[in-house]
Amino acid sequence: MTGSDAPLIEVEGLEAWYGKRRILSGVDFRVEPGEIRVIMGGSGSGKSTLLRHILGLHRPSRGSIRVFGTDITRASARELQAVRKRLGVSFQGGALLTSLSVGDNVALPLREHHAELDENQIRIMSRMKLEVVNLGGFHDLMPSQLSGGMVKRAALARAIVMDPRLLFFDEPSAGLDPVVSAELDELILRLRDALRMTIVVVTHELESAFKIADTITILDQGQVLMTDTVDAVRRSDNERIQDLLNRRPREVVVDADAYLRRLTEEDA
Amino acid sequence: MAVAQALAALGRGTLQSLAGVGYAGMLLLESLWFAVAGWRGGQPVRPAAIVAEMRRIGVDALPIVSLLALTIGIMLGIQFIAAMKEFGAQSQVVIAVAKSVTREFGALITAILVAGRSGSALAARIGSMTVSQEVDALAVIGIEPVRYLVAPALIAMLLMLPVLTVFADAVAILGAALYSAPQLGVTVQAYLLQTMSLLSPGDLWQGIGKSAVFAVLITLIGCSTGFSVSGGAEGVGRATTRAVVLSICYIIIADMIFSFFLNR
Repeated sequence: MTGSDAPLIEVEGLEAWYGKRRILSGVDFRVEPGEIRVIMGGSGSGKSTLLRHILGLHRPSRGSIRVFGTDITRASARELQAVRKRLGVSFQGGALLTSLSVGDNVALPLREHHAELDENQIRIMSRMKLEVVNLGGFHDLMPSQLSGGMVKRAALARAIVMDPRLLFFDEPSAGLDPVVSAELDELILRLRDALRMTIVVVTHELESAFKIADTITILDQGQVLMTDTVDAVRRSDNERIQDLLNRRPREVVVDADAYLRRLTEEDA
Repeated sequence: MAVAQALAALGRGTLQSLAGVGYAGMLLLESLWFAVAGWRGGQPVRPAAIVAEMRRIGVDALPIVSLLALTIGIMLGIQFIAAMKEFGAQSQVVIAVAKSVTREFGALITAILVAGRSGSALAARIGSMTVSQEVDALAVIGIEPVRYLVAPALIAMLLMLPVLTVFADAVAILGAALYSAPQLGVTVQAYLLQTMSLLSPGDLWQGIGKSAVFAVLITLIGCSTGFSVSGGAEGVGRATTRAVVLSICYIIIADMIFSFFLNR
C-alpha cells in the first residue's frame, strides 16, 4: 500500500463546510513521494482547511482522504494514530507548548511514542534536530523567549524529530522578515535533500513558493485551479492564476440577486 | 414573528446546553477510559502529570483554604452562639458547628475556592492552547488532547478535592473552637474532643462524597469551556469567566440536591 511509487496523499472529491458556507468543493489532490508540493491561494481560498482535513483535524462532509494509503476519514483512532506518527507538522504560529522548554517540546513526540529510549538518547536525538534547524544550544529556553523565526524553526525541529516521511509546513514565512523567511526556504530544501522527506507547504508567498516548489497546487474559492510544475504555473493563461501571480486585485462580479438576498434576509 | 423568534432562540439555547452536557460527558468517559486502559493503546496517563496537577490543585491551595476555612469556622461559631443564646442552648454550638461544617460548609467552601483557582486555570490554559493551535499540535503528534490535558486534571482533582475538604473541615472546626470555647467556658481541647465524640463517619462521608462530585463538575466545566474557545485572547477571557460562574452554579445546585437526598 505504501510502496515507493504510491502517492503519499490522495484526496478525492473533498467537500467541506463551515456552517452554511462551503469552503471546499470537489477537491482532488495527490502528492507523490519525494516532491515538495506548495499549496497556494489567497486568503479564504480554503488552503488551511484542506491542510486541516489532511491532518485529520476535521471530518469532511464528503470525499475521501488517503494518507500513506489509509483512508483517514474512516480510520479508527488507532489507525489515525499510526498515520500521525509518520508525519510531522509545523503550524503557522509554531504551536510550541508554552509550558515546556524548547528542548522538551522537541523531545515530546519521542517521549510519548518511544518509551524504550532512555533520557540520554532522547536528549541527543532532540538536540541533533535542533542543530539541523540552527538552534543548537537553545534547548533550555522557553518558547516565549524566542523570536518569531526561532519559534518556527523550533516547531520544525519538533516536526522532524521522529524522522517523518511526510512533513507539513503551514505558512513558513508568515510574519517573518525576508531574510529569515529565505533562510527557512533553504532549510526546507535541505530537509528534502538530506532526509528525503516529502514536504507539503501551505503559503501565499509567491517568491518562496517558486523557490522551493517542485509542483504547485493553486486553490481558489475552494476549488483546485491547477496542479502543475512551477514553470507551467507561471505560463498558465488562467486569468485568476495570473491575478494571483501579478498581485492584481480581484474583479468582484456582483450578482444582483444574491446581493439583495444578503442585504434583506434575516438569517442569510 | 416575535414569538417564533423567541421559541427559536429557546430551542437553540436548549440544544446548545444539551450539546455542552453531552460534550462534558464525553470528556468524562474518555478521561476515565484513558486512565484505565490508555496505556494499552499507547496513550498512558502519566503519573508525573497527575502529581504536577495535584500540586497545583491541592498543595498550592492549602494556604488560602486554611485561611477561609478558619474564618468560616469563627463566623459559624459567632452566629451559632448568638442564635443559641436566645434559647439558652449555647452548649449545642458544638454539634451544630460540627455537623454543618463536615456535611456542608467544608465541601462547599473548598469547591468554590478550587473552582475559582483551578477551574478557571484549566479553562484559561486549555483555551489559550486551543487558540494557539497547541491542541491541534498535540493531536497531530499523536497525543490525544483529552488524555494529556483532561485526564490528569480529573484524577488529580478527584484525589485532592476530598483531601482539601477534610482539611478544611478540621481547620473550620478549630476556628469555631477558638472563638466558642472561651464563650462556653471550656478549653479548646475539650471542645475539640467533644466534637470528635459527636461526629459520626457518615457526617464526614457526606462532605467527601459531595466533594468528589464537585471535583468532576469543576474539571469538566473548566476543560470543556476551554476546548470550545474561539476568538483569540478575548475568547479565553470569556471562557475563564464562564467556567468559574458555571462551576459555582452547578456546585451549589448539586449541593442542594445532595443535601436533600442525604438528609431526608
